Amino acid sequence: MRRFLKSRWFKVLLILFVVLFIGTIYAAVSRNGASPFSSATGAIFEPLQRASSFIGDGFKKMGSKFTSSSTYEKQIIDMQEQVENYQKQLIDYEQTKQKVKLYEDFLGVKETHSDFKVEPATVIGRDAANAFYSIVLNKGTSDGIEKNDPVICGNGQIIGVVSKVGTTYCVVSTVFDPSVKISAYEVRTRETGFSTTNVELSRDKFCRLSGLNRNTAIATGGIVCTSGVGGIYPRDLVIGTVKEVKNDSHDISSYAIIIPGFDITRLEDALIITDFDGQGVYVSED
Amino acid sequence: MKKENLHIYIRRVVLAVLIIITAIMQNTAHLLPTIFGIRTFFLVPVVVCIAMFEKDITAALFGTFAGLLWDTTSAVGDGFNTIFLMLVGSICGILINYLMRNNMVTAVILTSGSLVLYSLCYWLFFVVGKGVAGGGLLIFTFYLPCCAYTLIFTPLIYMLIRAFMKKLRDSLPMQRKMKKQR
Repeated sequence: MRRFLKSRWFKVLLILFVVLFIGTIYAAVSRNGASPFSSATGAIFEPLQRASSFIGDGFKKMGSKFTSSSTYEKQIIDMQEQVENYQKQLIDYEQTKQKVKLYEDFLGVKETHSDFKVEPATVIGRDAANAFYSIVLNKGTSDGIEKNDPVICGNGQIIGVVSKVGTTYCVVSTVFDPSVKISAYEVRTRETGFSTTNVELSRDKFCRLSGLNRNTAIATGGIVCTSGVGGIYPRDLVIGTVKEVKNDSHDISSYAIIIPGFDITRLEDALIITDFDGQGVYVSED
Repeated sequence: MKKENLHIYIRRVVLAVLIIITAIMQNTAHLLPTIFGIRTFFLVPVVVCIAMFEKDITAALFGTFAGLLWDTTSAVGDGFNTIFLMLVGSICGILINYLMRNNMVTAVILTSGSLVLYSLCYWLFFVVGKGVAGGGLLIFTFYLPCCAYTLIFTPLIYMLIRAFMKKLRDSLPMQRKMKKQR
C-alpha cells in the first residue's frame, strides 16, 4: 500500500482527479454547463455519434419491414374509420352552415314580424306536369302545416302558398302560378293592386302587379309588398321589384312587371308561416 | 313456394321498384336534364311498356300505383294522374292482349297516344278550364314538346323492360315454359 501511494501512477491518477474535479466545478459555474474536457471529447466523437445514429435509424426502418401485415391492416382500417368520421363531420358542418344562413336571413324578418310562427322546410320535389314551378316541401299536417299557409324564403320574400297538404309533405303553388293572387302595394307610392301572372310572364319567372291606375306613379325599381288584405298573407312581405310599367291592352288599367327576388330553380329551403296575427281574418283595404 | 309463383312475385316487385325510381327521377329537380324548361313524363311510357307485358288488371294496378306516386307531387287535381294512368295501363293491356302485337312499333304508338292524351286532358282541365291567361298556347309551348322529349326515350324503356321480362321467362323450367306458350 505504501509503495502504491508513493508510486508514479498514483501521482498521475491524483493529478488527473484534481484536474477533472476542477473541470467539473468549471462546468458547474460556466454558462454552457460543459467542461473543457467534455467539449473536446464531444468535438472529436460527435461525427462518430452521428454516423451511429444514422445506422440505428436504418435498422429501425429495416425492422418495420418485418412488421406483420395484420398490423398494417389494422392501421389502415383505423385510418379509414377516421376519414369516414371526418367526412361525416364535414357533411354535418356544411348542413349546419346552410341552416345557420337560413336562420340568419330569417332573423331580420322575425325581428320585424315577431308574431310569425314558422316551420323550416326543404324542397324535395316538383310536379313535372306543372308548368308554373310548383314545389314539394318535406313538412305536412304532422308539423302543423295547413292549406293556405304562406311560404317565404329566409330573407322574407314570398314564394307562394300551400295548396295541398299531406301528412309529411305539402305542395306549394308559387307566385309564378296564375291561380295565386296576392293583394299587394308598392312601397313608395302606396298604390294597391294584386299580384298575379300569366303564362308568358311565368315562363320568364316574372309576376305582374295588376289593377293599377292608368296614370300610376310606380316606377322601375319600386318594391312591391303584400298588403295583408284577405287574411292569407301577412302584411309587408316582399313580392319583388318593379321591372317596368305597361298599359293593359284589355282595359284602362296599367300593370307593373315584377321580378321576384329568388331563383325558383335553385331554391332548396323555405319557411312556412303556420301562424301570424290576422291569419284567416279578412281585412278590407279601407 | 312454386318457382313460377316466385317469378311472378319477383317480376312484380322489380317493376314496382322501377316505377318508384322513375317517379323520383321525374319529379325531382335537376335529376334529369331539361331543354329550355321542357321536361319528361317518364311515368307514362313506363306504365305503357309494363302494360304490354302484363294482364289488363295487373297493368291497371301498376298504373294506379304510378299515378298515386305522381299525385303526391301534383299541385292540382289530386287523383287525376292516378285515374289516368290506371286507364292507360288497363287499355294498353287489353289492346296488346287482344288486338295488337307486342313490339317496338306498337310501344311507340301507344306511348305517343297516351302522352298526347295526357297533355290534352291536363291542359284542358287545369289550364284552359281554370281560365289561365295565355294558357291557350301552353299546349304547343310546353306540353307537346314535353311529349316529344319523352317519346325519344320510349324505345330504351321498352327494350329495358322487354329484356328483363325475357330474362325472367328464360329462367323458368322448360315444362312451365311450354305450358305458358300453349
